[in-house]
Amino acid sequence: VLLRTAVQSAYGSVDRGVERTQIGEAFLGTLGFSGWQLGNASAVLAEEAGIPGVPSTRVENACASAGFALRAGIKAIESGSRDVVLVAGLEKMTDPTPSRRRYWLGVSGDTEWERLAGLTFAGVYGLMADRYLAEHHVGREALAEVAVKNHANGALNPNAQFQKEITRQQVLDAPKVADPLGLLDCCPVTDGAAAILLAGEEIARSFTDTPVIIAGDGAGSDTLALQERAHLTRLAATQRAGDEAFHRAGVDRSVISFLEVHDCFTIAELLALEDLGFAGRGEAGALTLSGATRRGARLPVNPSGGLKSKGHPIGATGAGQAYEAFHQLRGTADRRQVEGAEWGLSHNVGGSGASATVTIYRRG
Amino acid sequence: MARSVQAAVVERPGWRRGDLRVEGPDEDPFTLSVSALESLQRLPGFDRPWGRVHLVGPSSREMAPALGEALGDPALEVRRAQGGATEVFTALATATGSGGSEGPEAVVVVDVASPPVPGRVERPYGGGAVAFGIREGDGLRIGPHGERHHPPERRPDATAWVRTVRRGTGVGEELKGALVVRAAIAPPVLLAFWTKELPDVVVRNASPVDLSLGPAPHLGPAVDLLEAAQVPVDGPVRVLATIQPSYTTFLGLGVGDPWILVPAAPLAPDAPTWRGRPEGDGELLRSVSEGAYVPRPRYLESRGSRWRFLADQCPGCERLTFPARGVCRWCGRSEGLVSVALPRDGGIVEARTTVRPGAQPTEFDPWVDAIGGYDVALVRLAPTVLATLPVTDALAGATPAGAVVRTRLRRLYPMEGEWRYGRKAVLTPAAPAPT
Repeated sequence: VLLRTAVQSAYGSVDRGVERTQIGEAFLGTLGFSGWQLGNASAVLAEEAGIPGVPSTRVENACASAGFALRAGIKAIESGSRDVVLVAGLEKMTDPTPSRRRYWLGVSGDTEWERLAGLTFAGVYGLMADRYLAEHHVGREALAEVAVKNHANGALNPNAQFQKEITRQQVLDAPKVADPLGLLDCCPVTDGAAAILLAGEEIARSFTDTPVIIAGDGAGSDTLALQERAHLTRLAATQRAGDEAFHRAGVDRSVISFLEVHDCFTIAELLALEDLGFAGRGEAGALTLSGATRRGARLPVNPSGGLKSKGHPIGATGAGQAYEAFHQLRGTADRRQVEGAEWGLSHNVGGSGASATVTIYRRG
Repeated sequence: MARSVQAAVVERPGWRRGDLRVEGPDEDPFTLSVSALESLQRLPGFDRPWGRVHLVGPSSREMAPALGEALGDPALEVRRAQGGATEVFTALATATGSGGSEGPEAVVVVDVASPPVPGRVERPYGGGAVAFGIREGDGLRIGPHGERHHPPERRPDATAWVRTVRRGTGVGEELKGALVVRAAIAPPVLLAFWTKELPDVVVRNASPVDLSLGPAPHLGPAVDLLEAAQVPVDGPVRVLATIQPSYTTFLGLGVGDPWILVPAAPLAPDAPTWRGRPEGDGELLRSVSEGAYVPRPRYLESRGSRWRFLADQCPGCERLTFPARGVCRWCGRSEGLVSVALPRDGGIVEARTTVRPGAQPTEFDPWVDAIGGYDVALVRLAPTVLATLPVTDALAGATPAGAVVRTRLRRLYPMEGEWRYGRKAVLTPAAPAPT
């Protein structure tokens, strides 16, 4: 139902309508598919989208599955092999038992040296946060402010899992999960799906007068395990993906109106701001505490509420970020609209940074 | 040249269960033995290849080759023996006698804690390991040993008993004043009798010296031996006699020459505690992992890095790749890589998190059930090498970034019917100085 709802909504968003026969290829981002169709899950996308016979491919890069599915769709359009491509992301996380869920959440990290040392992703990001706070002499308040801001944004998003505001003190007082991260530093377990229709610019303009243009994209990878990285507080995959995306878009960071970054844990948003070049090393905490990343401020970050408040249906998140960019740049984001949004950026990370994509969008 | 015990290392666990000092939930005879033998390897004269290791105490057949692998000598001969004092003394006699091999030898005696058994009066006992290092030269000399039976229904005959001990150990009149008696579980009346009949001897009482080693059948004789060797009694010869309700074991010792003793670290006042393994190992090992799966061949392949911190050093760029994987991860070279063992102690914690209940992988549910939350640390082993290590032997949250740690081989998780082992970080304590 999730997938069908998202795809139908995507079809319905095309101002002048789209024929399903125009779709030449489909890509599905999913990690666990609720645990019941671990192989060949992409066939379900073709079935639910009503596009039988159309080649469909499952893309799995953990939490960046849909980001990489989007990238595959972009490449299919750019190469000229397809005119219209359907990209979807799906995760149904609440169906499996808690232990089963912990299983397939955990196996996307480094299995041998992290998972079997006793870490889930909360623990891995806990290590990054511990190092970051010590290295840059930053207090937990900076992490808490990320959660506060994103919940405030999520409170305005009808698709958000948590549509209520929280206070900094609530974040600081929440039970610890993996020190220094507490419960409200962590994104929730979420069900969700999102679907995107991609087309070449000329064809897109035949569908609508207000398309959103993908101006550039980039991707990168890094080691699975933190222990093999040169820096514990930098995601090299994000740095590479961001640099590539800006290079391909031919713009610099100053044009960006808003960011949708991968805040699976509060520390991840601070790292993203620095890795993407929007804050100097160790300065993202101060930037966040200054209020500059709030929705109405200089650099709105996660106006959707981010993974933290909107939710993080693993394999759907990258598509969900593109959905937010689509609405922000068409001016249809309702109460959470970033005024005057012309350019946007989405950033999707797999695991603890083993893979990442960055996509830059502009108003068409 | 004659061989003697020239060093001994006592490895006693730092955990509590009730009044007992017990091994932690991630220890077993294998881990205790490896820890004691690794400590012995660090002492002068024992840092070269050993001829043989004698293992006395509970062990499995798989443990012998694994012990050699853990110590960096897969071809190491390991002789196993189950049993109590007689087997301990026999192993020491073999290692110090003419049957000894070329090079140093070690005798490692190990016991794991016994749980209390409902309906039985015997006290449970603690665990640990003692590793004796034996090589040519002067040190603690192991003399003859024997047993004398004295059924409890018969009145003890002190004269006959002393005669047997003298004959068995080859110690003559000098026995007087040089006898160390340990009446492990003898009834108080029997102990009083020996004390009265042999007024000149030093008597060690049955009460536990520290946190109830108690009647540990394997470890007890080894600890008694070390204690007997240190008791201030005139003369270079003494006899250790351990009185049980129906028999006595005895061993002659020559203590005139110096030898090294590395005692166990004192039990910290805030030593962690746990509830034991109510479900038993068997059930754990039979359970099917719902979590991360590492096939056995993959585990075997990684044991060098897991157990001994082996890294590949590239002859081209000279950088280290850890875990070793047969290719330099910096420049891609796979020919001529040199295996390098990284330091196992002295690493610095670069980052630490405390995993709270609910945030653990499913494989760690038993660990959380036993002790609650636990720490995991990124430890810098070398300038360019970090390792993700669980922290053990400490309360959750007790290991801060910047701390210096040593590492110990411990149980990691059960999978496919066996325990998988790897190194864990342990906060470096104020280590007791060797004497």
